[in-house]
Amino acid sequence: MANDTMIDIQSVSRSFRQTLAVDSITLSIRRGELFGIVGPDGAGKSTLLRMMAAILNPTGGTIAIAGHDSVKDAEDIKSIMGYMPQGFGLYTDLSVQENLRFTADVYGVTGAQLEKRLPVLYEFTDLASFKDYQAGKLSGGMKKKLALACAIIHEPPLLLLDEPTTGVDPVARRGFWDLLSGLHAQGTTTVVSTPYMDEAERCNRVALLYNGRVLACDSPSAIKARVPGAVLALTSSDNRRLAPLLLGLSGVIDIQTYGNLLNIIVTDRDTVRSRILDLLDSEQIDDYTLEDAPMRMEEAFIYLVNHAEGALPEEVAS
Amino acid sequence: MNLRHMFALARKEFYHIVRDPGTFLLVTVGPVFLMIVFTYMLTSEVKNAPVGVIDHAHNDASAELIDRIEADPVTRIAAYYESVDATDLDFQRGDIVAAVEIPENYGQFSLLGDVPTVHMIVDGMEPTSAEQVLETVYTIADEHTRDLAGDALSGFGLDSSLLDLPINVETETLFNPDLRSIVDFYPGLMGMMLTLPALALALSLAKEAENGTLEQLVASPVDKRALLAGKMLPYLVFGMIDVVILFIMGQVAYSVPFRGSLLEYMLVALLFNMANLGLALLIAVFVRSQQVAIIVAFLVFFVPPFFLSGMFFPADAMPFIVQLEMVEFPSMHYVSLAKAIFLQGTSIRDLLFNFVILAILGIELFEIAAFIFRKKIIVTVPWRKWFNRDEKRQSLTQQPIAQSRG
Ligand SMILES: Nc1ncnc2c1ncn2[C@@H]1O[C@H](COP(=O)(O)OP(=O)(O)O)[C@@H](O)[C@H]1O
Ligand SMILES: [Mg+2]
Repeated sequence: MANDTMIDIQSVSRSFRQTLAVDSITLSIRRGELFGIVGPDGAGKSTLLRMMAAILNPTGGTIAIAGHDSVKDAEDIKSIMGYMPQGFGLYTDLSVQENLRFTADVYGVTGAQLEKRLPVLYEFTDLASFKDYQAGKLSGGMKKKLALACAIIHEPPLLLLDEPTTGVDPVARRGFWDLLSGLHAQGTTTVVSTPYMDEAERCNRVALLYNGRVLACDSPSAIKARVPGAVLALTSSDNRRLAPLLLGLSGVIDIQTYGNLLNIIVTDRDTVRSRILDLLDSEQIDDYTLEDAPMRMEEAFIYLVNHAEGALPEEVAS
Repeated sequence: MNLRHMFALARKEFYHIVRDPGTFLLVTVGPVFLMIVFTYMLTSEVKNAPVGVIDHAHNDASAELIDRIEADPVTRIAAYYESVDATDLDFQRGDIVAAVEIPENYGQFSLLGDVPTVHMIVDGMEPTSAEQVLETVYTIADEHTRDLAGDALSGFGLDSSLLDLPINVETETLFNPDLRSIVDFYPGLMGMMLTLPALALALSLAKEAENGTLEQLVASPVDKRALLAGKMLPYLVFGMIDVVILFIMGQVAYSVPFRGSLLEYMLVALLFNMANLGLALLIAVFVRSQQVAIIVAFLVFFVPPFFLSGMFFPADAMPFIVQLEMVEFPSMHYVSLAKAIFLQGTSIRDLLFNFVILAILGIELFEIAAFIFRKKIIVTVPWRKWFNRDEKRQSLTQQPIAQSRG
């Protein structure tokens, strides 16, 4: 294993009775990376992170964290990592300060070291004025910040965060990611899982997880580059009727519906655009807009899900 | 064991206890309240207890006696029988709690001859009512005999008060030979009350598993023995406070005698508390949901001690296997030790077997729980909480998969 590898996952699987939550995943995460594990509910993100955190043993394969085996040397891993479980893992009946001090005791951060660390964490997370608040009374976003502060209290070289922004308002989400960027800049290897595609853009690399498998693992721009063609955004009064017709057009790879907006992924912008205009004409729809749209992770992910089996449409394959 | 970890856990657990009114009441007022309820149940006044009669005399005197028993508020006549054997079935069904056998010579006096002997059979399964019925019938029969004797003597011009002529009442107790009462039960009952802090401990650990805080803990480098010991410590402290309160309550409110060494009793109580808490940890290590913890704890803490600890049934009346099983229940040894120390003033040295087993259980149950406990998440738990699906739905528009092509 190369020296700059922080996490080495070799064909890891985990099943729960009939469910295969993680299906022979192989991944390698480098030191200093901000790595995203992106996928919908039930994709297996939490299961994968729990195995990395050495609190769940794989049913197949091996995981090495900084050279420690996740089954045999689980306790070694636990002292060098900070882990934030999905949901709130701290005590709602303890104050912000009590939670921090408890965590510090558990991680062996004490005395002068702790007294120096606490102000830094309060400053970093903006929680200073909430020191004596019961953790249960904090807002969703502040709870996550407190959990983050606890996770980094011992300045771990590795941070595992399971859906840290789920259930948090958009502004707080942005703030949280700014914190992560700050930690990343300090050199902390960070693994974040999220169901939000837009967050993937902020990672060095992401693994797209679906049904327990990795659909793609690359930088966000490289993943988007894998999707051939362009995106056209169509709004009209009759999207419901149009969608299947559009899918029938040659050159249309995929359609995603967002309310009355259709994102159409096409092989060739110009030729398919004129085919769509023809279709709109023949269907006698004139209150529409058809514009170019950027390719986002969102489109890329859905494209990859729909073509996971390598069954690309003929136009693309040729 | 990492002591820093242990005290960190203990402090945190202490906050949980004092900040949650339910838990706080369970470990403080709970045992006292339960003790009052129990003792009340055992002492409650008896009214109209059903009594059976076997009348061999069939004379005016016996009829008068029966009338007086019927008239007394404590007792009523429920049935008549030809023989003592005939009462068996009704005793078993609980239709009568006592039977009075009136001898043939009832009401006949010869100054030289036998005093008529009224024979009583009481149901020891209901010690309180049995004791009261016994006392009542004795008093009625005694008075009646004095009246009869008085009538007889005044015929001779003598004053009945000169005579001391007690009636003989012979008793036979079914099921609970000693007719033990509150005082006898109190030391044992104290042990049962001490299972409440243990229950609270099992619930607390199950709650951490349900809320996901245990996931955070097992992902930390915390020493697992320190984790369990730290969680246990505050309950041990509250348990010992309960012992002191219940002890004082016993002395003051129930005049329970204490003949042994207080130090020895406290040592026994400490070991018993530890064993109970170890058992609670063992339960919680296996079940990590609060509902299941309650059910299992009830089965382990309340049912076996109740039936097996010799509190209600004599241990030697039970089959060998059951006796063997009982050895594993701390309560059995606690009850033996506590009763001997309280009531007979016995020293631990004379009950070394029970003491040694209790000490082993006190230490070993914790060690077994710590040995079995794994710093992993348990996969057979209800995971509603873990996935927090409701939270996620909040921002549906940002969920790409919901809009996948249909
Ligand atoms: N402890 C568990 N026991 C049984 N099934 C589980 C458990 N954890 C996860 N699963 C199942 O594994 C799959 C992946 O779940 P999870 O890893 O939580 O996905 P995600 O975090 O991406 O939403 C789901 O089908 C889930 O029901
Ligand atoms: Mg998850």
